Amino acid sequence: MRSLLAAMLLVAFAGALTGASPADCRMHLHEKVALLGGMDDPEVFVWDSRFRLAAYQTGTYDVAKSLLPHAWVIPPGTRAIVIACVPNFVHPRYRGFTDDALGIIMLNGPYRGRSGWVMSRDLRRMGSR
Amino acid sequence: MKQRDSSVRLRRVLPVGLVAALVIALWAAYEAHANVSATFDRQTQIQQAQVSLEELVRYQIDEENSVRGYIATKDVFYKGQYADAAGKMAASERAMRAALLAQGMTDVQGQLDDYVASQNDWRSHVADPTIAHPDRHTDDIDKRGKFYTDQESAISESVRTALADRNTRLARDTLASINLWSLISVVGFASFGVISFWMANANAAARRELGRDKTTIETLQTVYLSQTIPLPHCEVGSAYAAASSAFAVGGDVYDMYRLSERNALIMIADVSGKGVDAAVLTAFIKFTIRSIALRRPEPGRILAEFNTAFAHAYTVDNPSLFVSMFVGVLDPEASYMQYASAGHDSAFIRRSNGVQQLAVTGPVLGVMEEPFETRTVQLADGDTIVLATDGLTEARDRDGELLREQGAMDLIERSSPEPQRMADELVAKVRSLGGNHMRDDLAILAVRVLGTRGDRA
Repeated sequence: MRSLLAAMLLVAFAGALTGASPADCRMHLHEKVALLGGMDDPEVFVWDSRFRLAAYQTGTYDVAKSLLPHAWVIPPGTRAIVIACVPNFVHPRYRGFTDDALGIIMLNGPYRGRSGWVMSRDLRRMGSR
Repeated sequence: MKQRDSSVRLRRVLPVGLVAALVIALWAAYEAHANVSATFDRQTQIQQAQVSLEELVRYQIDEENSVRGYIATKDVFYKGQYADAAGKMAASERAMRAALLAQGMTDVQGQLDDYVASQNDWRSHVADPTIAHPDRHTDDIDKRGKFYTDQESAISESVRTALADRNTRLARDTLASINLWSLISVVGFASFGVISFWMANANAAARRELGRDKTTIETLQTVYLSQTIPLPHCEVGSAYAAASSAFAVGGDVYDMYRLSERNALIMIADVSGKGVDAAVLTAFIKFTIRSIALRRPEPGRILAEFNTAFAHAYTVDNPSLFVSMFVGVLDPEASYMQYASAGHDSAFIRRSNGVQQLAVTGPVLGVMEEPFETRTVQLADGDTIVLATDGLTEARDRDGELLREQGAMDLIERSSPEPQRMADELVAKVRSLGGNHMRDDLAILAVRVLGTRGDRA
């Protein structure tokens, strides 16, 4: 119940801060997903704030390193549900693309019930490869 | 005339254009070739950097997988594999740095520094502690491992993109450069071809034109030069040879014309110009002198009257035009000749005791209004009057030495006494002096006085 309340607050907070519509997002709200990083490192960082998520991706080496206490390392394949989206919020430093910041609640594994923020690239739709 | 001048100027300019077109074409071809070579070298260096990057990433993943393998199995084989991958990674890093340095890609070198620093941190904060205590694996180490991997993954992707961009830009710029130089080269070679073709046509046209001119002039000369007409008490010989070059043909004229039962006019002249205009002028000279001589058979007066007519008819429009002329009125029966010479020094009498040059008695015609002195020269039987144009005295041998008056007199003295043979021999000698090449026209008129012997003949 507390998790659900926190998720609702997260959605309301994200929507209030940004003018962008979740309709522009690559994932749909309430969509069930699985967490999966790159092939060479499949684990995923889940952040306690979308701003830290963005700062980690855009910041210098030292800035990114200093943010690590605010992240969990989530094993690949952990299931989650999308509860918030801020389109094109993340601009990775060395990469030539922008990505959505997605608020999720994890549905299984050691962090079941916890919510956090990830990039849409670290999510796979359930049933998709 | 103007058209011919411009044609001559064009023929002088065309070879310069021809050489310029060839130089430009060859230079452009060389530049295109140099561009291809330089691009090939630079692309090879970029490809070397790309290969080194992929090796770097592969060895990095090998290191990480070795640590994971060791955590899972505790097999020391993975420790060795980890150390081996770290060594290979260092070698790839050096190769990549060398390639980036050669390309001057300092921004990418900075990213490579970040990549290496991150990997070193991973080794000291993640890999080494994990290998030392594989059972004490913590969330913090997991986080750090993920962090370093993220950093290196992002950097390698960025470097990969930068190298690909550089390669694409290089290929595009080089292609544009090669296209430009190739175009210049093609235009140069095409210009070379067009100018060559143009030159060939211009030269052929000029040769045809000169050939036509020469034929015209020679025809005019032949028509205007007098046929040797029989005179009592005289033997006459004449010869004319056109210059080898079409540019030097025209302007010589001689005449022998019977004025009365006793007297005959002999005349030889040389016009200062050459070509068709000069050849046409010889007709004016010949018939004007004849008409004056019929009225006033006195050489000095003939020249003076002609000088006036010539000045009115020609030198107003062409002040540089002048004529040297010798006019003689011959009485073979009485064995004397009156003569006047307007600057014409190639007049001689061959006598039994040698050759005498006849004096010039006035300036060339067309320059000033001057009286012309008439002189009288006595002739003995067998004396030969030899009149020539400057083609005789100004004949040159192969070394460029002039024959001059004395050389001409020597030739006359050594030649046959029979006038026609003498004229032919003089022409042949001049031709052979120049190596069968006539620098100028040459006209010869030879008249041998026979006196009373002529009646017997």
